[in-house]
Amino acid sequence: MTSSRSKLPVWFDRLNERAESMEQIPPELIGRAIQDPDFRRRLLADPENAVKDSGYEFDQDQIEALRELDPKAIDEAIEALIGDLDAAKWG
Amino acid sequence: MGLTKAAPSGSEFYDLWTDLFLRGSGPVFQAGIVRTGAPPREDPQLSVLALAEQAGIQAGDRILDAGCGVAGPAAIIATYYPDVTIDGVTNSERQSAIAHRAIEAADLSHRVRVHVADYQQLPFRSGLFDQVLFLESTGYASDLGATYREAYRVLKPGGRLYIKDVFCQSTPLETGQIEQLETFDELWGCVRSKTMEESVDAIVRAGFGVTLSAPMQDIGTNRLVGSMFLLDNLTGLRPTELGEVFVRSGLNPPIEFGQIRAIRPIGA
Repeated sequence: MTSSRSKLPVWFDRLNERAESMEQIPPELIGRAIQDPDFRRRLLADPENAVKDSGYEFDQDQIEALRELDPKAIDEAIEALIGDLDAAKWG
Repeated sequence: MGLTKAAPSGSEFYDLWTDLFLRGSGPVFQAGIVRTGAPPREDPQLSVLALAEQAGIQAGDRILDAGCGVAGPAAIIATYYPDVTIDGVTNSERQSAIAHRAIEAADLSHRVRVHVADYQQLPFRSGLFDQVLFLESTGYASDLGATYREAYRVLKPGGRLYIKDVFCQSTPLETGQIEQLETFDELWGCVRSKTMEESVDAIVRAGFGVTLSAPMQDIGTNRLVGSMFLLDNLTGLRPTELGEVFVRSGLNPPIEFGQIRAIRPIGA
């Protein structure tokens, strides 16, 4: 297992690490980022302060994980999964 | 999205999905979480305590939680309010089994009990409770009149009724809105979301004096929505296990959070 993993490109391991950091992001912040486009923009542009102002504390890995998110990909995913942002309600 | 159909309403719904709700969003099975603190946050535990305060719960109360889930709210209230005892009622065997284990682990067995029963036909003697709570549970009532008559019966004179729920808007609904509401009710296993007006009417008919009925403002659904998704640096966003079942694209039912407080008159 170790030997096969060591053959994987560095970016693959990095993605795994980022995914783990991402899974520690509180649901409340994810939900707010989905439902509140202004907060989403701020969270992706200035994660450190957006998180702090929301009353949470993140470690550097989590902040870096947020920095690496692609705003366009998130907007598209929200549109595809949830539909009209102004209309969608908990389901 | 709807990768998996949720389930029919009734006890089957929670027998099927309780474990998923527990893994996905914890032991407080409520869509609306009261925002507390500064900056305001959706903390389920503080939300339950805020609701307890709204309800008027006092130390030493005997409380009925009608539609208690896995007794998350009951355990929180029992932990923070000295000497209260709480009976919770759920129609789901699965919820009851999980609640029993959780209550025992929290060393609250002497103060919190959970019963498998229909809150429209309660297994308690009349005049037993100081407080009856319905926390996002009246959507599962098939007979709203029977629901509140039973609440009235088991309350002591002077006892308090408190409801916090997702209410259907009372304005005449257009066809599209009715369809959205039906989809919402089916998705979450409800018999039917009630309007606040019909709820107040049923409460008054049961004999209560209503002291408050109002929409709730400081309440959010970010926590629930966020429990259905993970941020992802490849795809942007992907559904969690909970989201795989409960996300529906474009769902926009005509609903709002509200609360009702009422008292069983003394001498009635």
